[in-house]
Amino acid sequence: MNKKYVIIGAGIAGLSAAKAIREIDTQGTIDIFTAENNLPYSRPMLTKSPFISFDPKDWTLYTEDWFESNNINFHMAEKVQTIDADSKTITTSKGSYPYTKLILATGAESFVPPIPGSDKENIFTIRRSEDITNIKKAYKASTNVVVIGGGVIGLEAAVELARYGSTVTVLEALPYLMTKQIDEEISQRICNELTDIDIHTNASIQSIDGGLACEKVTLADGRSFPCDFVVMACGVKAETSIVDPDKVQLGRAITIDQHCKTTDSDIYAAGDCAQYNGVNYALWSQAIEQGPTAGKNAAGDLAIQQNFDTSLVMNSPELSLFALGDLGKDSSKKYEVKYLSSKDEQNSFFVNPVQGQFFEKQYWVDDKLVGAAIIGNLSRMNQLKDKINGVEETV
Amino acid sequence: MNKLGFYYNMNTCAACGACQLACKDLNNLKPGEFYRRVTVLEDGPYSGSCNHCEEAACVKACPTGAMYKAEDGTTQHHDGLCIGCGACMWNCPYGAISFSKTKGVTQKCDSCIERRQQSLEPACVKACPTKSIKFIELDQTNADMDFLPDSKKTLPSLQIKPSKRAMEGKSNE
Repeated sequence: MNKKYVIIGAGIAGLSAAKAIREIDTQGTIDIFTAENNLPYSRPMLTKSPFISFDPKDWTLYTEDWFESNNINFHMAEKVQTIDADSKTITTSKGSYPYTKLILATGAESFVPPIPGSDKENIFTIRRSEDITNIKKAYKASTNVVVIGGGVIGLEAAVELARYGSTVTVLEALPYLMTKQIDEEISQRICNELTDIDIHTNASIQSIDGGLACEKVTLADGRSFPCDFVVMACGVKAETSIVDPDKVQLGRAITIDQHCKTTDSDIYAAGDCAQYNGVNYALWSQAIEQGPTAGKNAAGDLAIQQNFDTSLVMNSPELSLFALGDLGKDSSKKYEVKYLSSKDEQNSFFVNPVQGQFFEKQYWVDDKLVGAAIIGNLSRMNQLKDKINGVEETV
Repeated sequence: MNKLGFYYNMNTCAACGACQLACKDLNNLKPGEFYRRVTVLEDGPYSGSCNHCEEAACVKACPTGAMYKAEDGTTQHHDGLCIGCGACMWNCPYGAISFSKTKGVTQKCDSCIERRQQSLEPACVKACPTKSIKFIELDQTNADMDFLPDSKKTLPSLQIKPSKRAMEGKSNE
């Protein structure tokens, strides 16, 4: 009997799982469900392309023709409401579907910290194309914007908003930016480079004030920042609301093994909704590794997820940043720090000197490169990636 | 196979800056934006631009296909496809790409493709009083200079005739 594959979520994890299944099993039925009312598009482009011209249609990952030619049933705007793991059936807003193998690729939702006033109007998160449409409407009538969260999404959004003439303030609660990925010195350099944006670290937010709409953001130390709207970019949390924790083990995300299998042997999970060894990077590279792994295993092949690129890369006209590995985060280790910069090489030539310059910081433990960051020209990035991942021995 | 690229002679270049000026004028570049720049280094004069690399880092880094290899082997940029993310600009080891604040996209030397289609020489070539720059079918490339990044990274279509001092520097190593 042909297998019935059901995939919940049509992000890149779900799509790449479907593709992997079809490569192995040409007979089984594949049903892929999304609550969104559009063809799947590349989500990173929400903040990586200009707001002003953003149109999800420009970033479509797969068209209707692709689903048709691969014999994949694409259920648009059909939200899955419940999963019955005993009878192996899912129920959606339109009906019930039995499955042989189920792949959860439900992704993640923006995390909104419980700040008093965070339910006011004109407070946006960035996760879907509608969010960008709404932000575009808001910034046309705005002069002051506060971005809460100084991670990659927050900074990309801030740079973009500053480009259209808004006065942008970024508030980061921690002592410096991206504390998990970079160090204080790199953070300080980022703040210095982004001269168009006002960045405040150690900003403990007390409340978002105003009437129906937000008018200002007040910090615990009494400072306040007037704003016409707020962008919340405080990271994501895995979307697991339809998962029954009695059937499928949940941590902060859905727990999976090396085959992307959950604790139910007929249910797999991949991408932003999944955690392996307790870690969920919520990165594109994670989704395109776990998606196919889940698909192959569901289709009967034995596949093990491989290491994926966990580096942080940010590009904008004003700033470029690369960071990978351990930048001095383990207090029990003794790090040796080395610096490299284009200023060390007086006799080097760049057509545009500004674009050629870089600042590189390397962290070494026991003569092994464990982490590095670059601000500026990124042409040494791949060399550093290989060296940190132990692929190549020369830098 | 021969490939189209710039030839540059360090021995005859007078570092007068005519190539840079002609380039900036033709392409209407703002202060601080260069398609081609001339300087005097320890090894002698040098005039550098986009090298239309065979393994172009900018083309690899571009998320939209705006930076692409044209049929004639040169690296070209499509302004309409560019989203201005800056990835090409930060990945070019030669710093050949800049950001145009007026156009909102990245920009670089297009080897005067429009002029060439009309059988004219690129503006820099035309402007050089000592004929130190040419844009020709190169039978060999040479871009292994101390002041340039390792040419194995991107395989630039560039042939430099090094100055005596540059060659002495090499032999001392």
